[in-house]
Amino acid sequence: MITIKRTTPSSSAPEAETAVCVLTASGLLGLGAAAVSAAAGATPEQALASGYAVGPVVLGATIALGRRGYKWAASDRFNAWADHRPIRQVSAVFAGSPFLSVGVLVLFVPVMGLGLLDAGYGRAVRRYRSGAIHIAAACMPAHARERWLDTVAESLHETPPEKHDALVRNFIANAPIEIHLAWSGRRRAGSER
Amino acid sequence: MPPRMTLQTQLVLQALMRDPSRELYGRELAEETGLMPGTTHPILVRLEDAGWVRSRKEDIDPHIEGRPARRYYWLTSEGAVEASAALAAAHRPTRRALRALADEGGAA
Repeated sequence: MITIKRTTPSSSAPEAETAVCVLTASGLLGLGAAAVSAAAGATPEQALASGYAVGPVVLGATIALGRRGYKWAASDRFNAWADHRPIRQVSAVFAGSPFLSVGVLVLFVPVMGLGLLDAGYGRAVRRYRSGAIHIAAACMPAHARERWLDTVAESLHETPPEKHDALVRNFIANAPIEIHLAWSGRRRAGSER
Repeated sequence: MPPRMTLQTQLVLQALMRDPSRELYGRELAEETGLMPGTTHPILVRLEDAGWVRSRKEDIDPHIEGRPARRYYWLTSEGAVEASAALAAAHRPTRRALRALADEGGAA
């Protein structure tokens, strides 16, 4: 017996439509989560992080289901049953899910990462912040670098540990000004010589 | 060129002018101004560039003292004159602006 394996046709229109729907839904879920967190008394940063975190989690679940659906939709059994039925449109939507998953990952992973960094969660975040301080320092001329790192160390020592995250964030936020001042001060010193 | 009289700059100058003979280090400045050290440091660098403020690093052995050396800041005599004139000419911050500043940059 010869079996002819048919695959589900994938048209770009339903894919795009689904992408928009899923992204919108996850965005709304994220906003909802942020609103709930804010209402529960979370700081704006924590609310933002909740929003960033919940959206992709729901999206991940949708994509996982979508991929299973795609496998199912590509099976002979399904094709035999779905021919000439409106449900075939749904199978085309599932066919787009691998593309969706890549797109969504590309879009949301950095956003989620930024959200978590912004809220200051986890050891990795602290490591990142410490790395950011050293990257900023590396952008300064030697004399300014040493002085700025001394100031950071002095401030960290003088500040209680529970305020270190806010302190380091404040130094990172002001690092571009420090870099600008360091180089403009050096240029001025050079031209005055 | 005189430094720009931002609200934060005014707060730093006011803190230094409270007792011009006193040298202040980062933590004390943060407490006096309500600003975080990351915010006050670039202001102090600008004021130093303008010649209004001078600084020195404390001469200690961090291993013996068990803490990093502090950097102390003080107003120069020229800086004290220029700063009081600049503060007198500067716009007085509104209560709303001060409240917003306290909310976002609260002391470290």
